[in-house]
Amino acid sequence: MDQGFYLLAFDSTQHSMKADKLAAGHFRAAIVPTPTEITSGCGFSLRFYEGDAEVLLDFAHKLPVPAKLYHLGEKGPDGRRAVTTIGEGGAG
Amino acid sequence: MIYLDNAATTLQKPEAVYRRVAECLPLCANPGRSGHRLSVQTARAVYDARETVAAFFGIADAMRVVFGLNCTDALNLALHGGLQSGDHVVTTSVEHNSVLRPLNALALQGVAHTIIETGPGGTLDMAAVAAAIRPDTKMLAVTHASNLTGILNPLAELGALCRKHGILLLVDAAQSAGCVPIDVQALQIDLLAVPGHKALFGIQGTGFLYVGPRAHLREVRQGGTGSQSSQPFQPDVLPDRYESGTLNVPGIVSVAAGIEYINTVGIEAVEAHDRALAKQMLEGLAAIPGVTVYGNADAARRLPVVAFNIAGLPSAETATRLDIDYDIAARSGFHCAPLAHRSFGTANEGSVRISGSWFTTRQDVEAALRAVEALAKKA
Repeated sequence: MDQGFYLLAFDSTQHSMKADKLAAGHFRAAIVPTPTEITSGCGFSLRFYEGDAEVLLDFAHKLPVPAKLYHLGEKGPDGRRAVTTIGEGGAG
Repeated sequence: MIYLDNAATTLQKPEAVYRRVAECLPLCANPGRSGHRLSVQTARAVYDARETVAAFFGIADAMRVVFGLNCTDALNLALHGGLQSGDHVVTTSVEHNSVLRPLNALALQGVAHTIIETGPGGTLDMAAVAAAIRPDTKMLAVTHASNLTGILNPLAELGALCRKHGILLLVDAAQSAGCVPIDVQALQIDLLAVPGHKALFGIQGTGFLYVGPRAHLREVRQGGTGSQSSQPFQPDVLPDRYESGTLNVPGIVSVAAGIEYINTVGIEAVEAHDRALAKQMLEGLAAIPGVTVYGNADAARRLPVVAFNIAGLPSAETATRLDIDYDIAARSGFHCAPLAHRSFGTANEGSVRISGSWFTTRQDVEAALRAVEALAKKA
């Protein structure tokens, strides 16, 4: 069953590259286009395929770039996911 | 051909630069726009290059590296973005037009400037710089090395002076980046403008501006950044605020490859090589009867960029003879540095400039010296 996933969103695509580099080797994660449930702008986000909220928020706090951690829940009837803001981290 | 026009563009690049550009081109999607794997891979290449540049110049935060078109573009961002009506700038007579023309344009908008004359020695009088700083002075805009004489300015002293007076230090590193070590933190540089296509061995159409934490610049162009697209105004986050439009990714990758090459051979080795070339050029030219060399001859403070004239032979004619008769590429004229030529007394005639790089050999310089000697005998 689709339980949803955690995702870090950034102010800049270059910030997402920095976070992606720091996540490598620690988390199973991938850069994806930022879901429109989070913003109507574009940009890249880091989608996690593992890790719980506490661990990921700790990772976000240690980032040198501003980042927001979200949980995207199960898909609704319209195909969109419910978004929960978990917290903010980074240099912002 | 013996290529001695490296102050304009280095011709020979490390093999890794050609290879990296060739590898990059077929996979070069738009960086940071689309989100598919190729786009992400291209964005990653830009980010990695940003980190390579930052590490090379002692820049703690790679996001403060702003890629642009070239060094002129970087200087325009620093000057037009950092100054406004009522501000005052101190600069020098050995600046390139990439600094002088923006300052002259800004003067029409109420930004005043004071030019410190170096005189025929081409060296900067620190006391004169300090005396020119006024209560409304916002910035000192200075070249690290003259593009006409290669004379290096004392950045550590200038950085300390700027901090003491609470003004910004903008450094034009067009000639020096890749030739001598530059650490923005140690030298207290707030804004560093660098071309990619000279001593960093990147391809043309590359450059960047380091924007330090004390510098708050307005963007000089607006547009797409791939981020915060629904906002009607430019994002204020770095580097996006200053990097609108698609970047020159093959160029940026080439600059990173060039820096990696310099890291391999060692910047200290490059510096020593350049100092030896400068000494050979200066001493060799000075020993030829009828040749005038411009600027202070202390080679320890000069890059291998040397301006000279042959008595009785116009500079354009000398450069043409070197090219056609001796297969040597040099540059004549005014080198986009009109005030420097005025200081050296060559405002009407200009001069011939020869300039070396890491790939220039002693034999290259020796051949040029013998060619100049032969031309001087005939003049």
